[in-house]
Amino acid sequence: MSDGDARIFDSNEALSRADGDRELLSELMEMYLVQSKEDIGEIEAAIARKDAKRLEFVAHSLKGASATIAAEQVREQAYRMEKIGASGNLAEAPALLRQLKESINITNELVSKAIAKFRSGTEGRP
Amino acid sequence: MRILIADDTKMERWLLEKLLANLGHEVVAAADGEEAIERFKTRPFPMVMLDWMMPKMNGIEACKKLRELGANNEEYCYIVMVTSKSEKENYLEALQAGADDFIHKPIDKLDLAVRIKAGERILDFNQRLAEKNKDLEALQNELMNHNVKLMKQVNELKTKVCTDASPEASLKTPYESLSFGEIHLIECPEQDKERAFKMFLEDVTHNVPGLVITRQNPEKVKEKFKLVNTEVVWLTKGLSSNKEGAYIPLNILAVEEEGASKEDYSKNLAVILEIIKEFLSKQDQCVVMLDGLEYLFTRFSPQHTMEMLYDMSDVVKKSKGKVFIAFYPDTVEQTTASILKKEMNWVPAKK
Repeated sequence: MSDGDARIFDSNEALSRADGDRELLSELMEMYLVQSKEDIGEIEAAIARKDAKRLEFVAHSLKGASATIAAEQVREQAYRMEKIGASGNLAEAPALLRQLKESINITNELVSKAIAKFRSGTEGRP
Repeated sequence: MRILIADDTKMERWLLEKLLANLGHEVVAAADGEEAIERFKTRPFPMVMLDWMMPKMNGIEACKKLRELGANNEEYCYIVMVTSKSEKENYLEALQAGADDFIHKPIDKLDLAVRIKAGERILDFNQRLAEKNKDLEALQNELMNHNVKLMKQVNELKTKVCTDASPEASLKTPYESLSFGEIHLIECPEQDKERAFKMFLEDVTHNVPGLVITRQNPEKVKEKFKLVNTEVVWLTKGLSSNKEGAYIPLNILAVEEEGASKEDYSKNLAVILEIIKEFLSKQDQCVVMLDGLEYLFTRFSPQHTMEMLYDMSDVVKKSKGKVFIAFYPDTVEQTTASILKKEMNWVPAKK
C-alpha cells in the first residue's frame, strides 16, 4: 500500500483502532462496505429531496464510520457534507457528492483488498 | 461492569461493544436513544454510553431522560457521551443534561479503558458515600431515639427535682425536731418573733409536709420563707373573695358580721379544726404552723378557742402529726396563758 493510499485509507491505523484484532477489523471493514454504499445512496436522495436535515444526519453517520476504519478522505468529505446539511444551503452539495462517490469507490477498493489480505493472513503478521 | 451503549451506526456500535467486551465488561447495545431508555427501564445500568447524534431520541435527550429515571435509584448511573469533534461546542449542554464524561470518535481503546476506569472509580466513591450516608442515617436515628429517651429522663428528673429539691426538702442534715403527736406552744419573744416559723421551716426543709394557718398574707409568707409546696391558709375576713381564688374555702367572715351567734363561733372554729384534721390525716408525721392564736381568742372568745384546741390535741395524737402554735407573750391574758402552757408542750424562748 502506497503512502498516497494510506491518506485515503490507513489500514495500520484501522487495525490499532480495532484493538489489533484482525478478525474484528475485517468484520468492521465488511460492515463499512455495506454502510458506505447505503449512506451515499441516502445522501444522494437527501440532496435530491433538498432534505438538509437528513443530509446532515447521514453525512455525520458516514463520517463516524469512516473515522472508525481510518478512511480519512471519505471522513473529511463526509464532514464537509455534514456541514453543508447543517447550513441548510445545499448549493455545493451536488459537486461534493460527486467527489464523495469517487472517494468511496477508491476507498472501498482498498478496503476490500485489505480484507482479503487480513483474511488470507499475509498482511500485518510479524 | 454492566454497560449500556446506544449508537445508531451499526459499525460503531458493534466496535464499541467488542472493545468493551475485550475490557471484560458486560455490554447491552441499543440502536437509538429510545431503545436505550427502554432497556434502562427494564433494568438500570451503572454505566451508559450514548452516541450524540441518533434518530428518534438523540444523546442529550436520552441523557436527560436517564437522569429523570435514575433520580430515585439508590445507585448512581455514570453517563458517557460519545461525540465527534464537531460537537465539542455543545459540551456544556451535555453537562447540564447530566453527562459525566465525554469520549471522542473514532474511539481509541486506551482512551476508552481510561474513561471506564475513571467512571468505575466515581461509581465506587458514590457507592461508598451512599453506604456512609446510610450509616449516618442509622446513627442519626439512634441519636434521635437516645435524645427522646434523655428528654424523658430529664423531664422525670425535673419533676423529681421540683419535688425533692424544693426549698422545703432541701436539707438532709440531722436536726433537732420537736416530737410528733403533740401541740407545741412556742414562745416568740419580741427579739425573735419568727421563732415558731423557723422551727416549722426546720421540719419542712427536712421533707416533712407542712401547712401554715396564718393571719399574714399567704403570698408574702410563701415568699418570705421560700415555700413552694407548702399550703398556706389565710385567716382573713376577705378570704372567700381572694383574687387568686380562696386558699381554702373558709367561710370565716361570718363571725365578723354583727349578730353572729355562739353557734357561728363554734362553726368557724370547727372549720379550722377540720382543715388541720384533714391535712394531718393525709399521712403520718405532718406539721401544721398555726400563727394567729391571739386573733382566734379575740374573734371567737378564749373559751370557744380553748375547746377547739382540746379537740385539736386529740386530732394531733391520733394522726401522729404535730402543730406549732406561735405564742406571742403579752397578747394572751395571763390565766389563759398558764392554761395553754399546761395543756400543750410549752417551748419557752431560750434566755
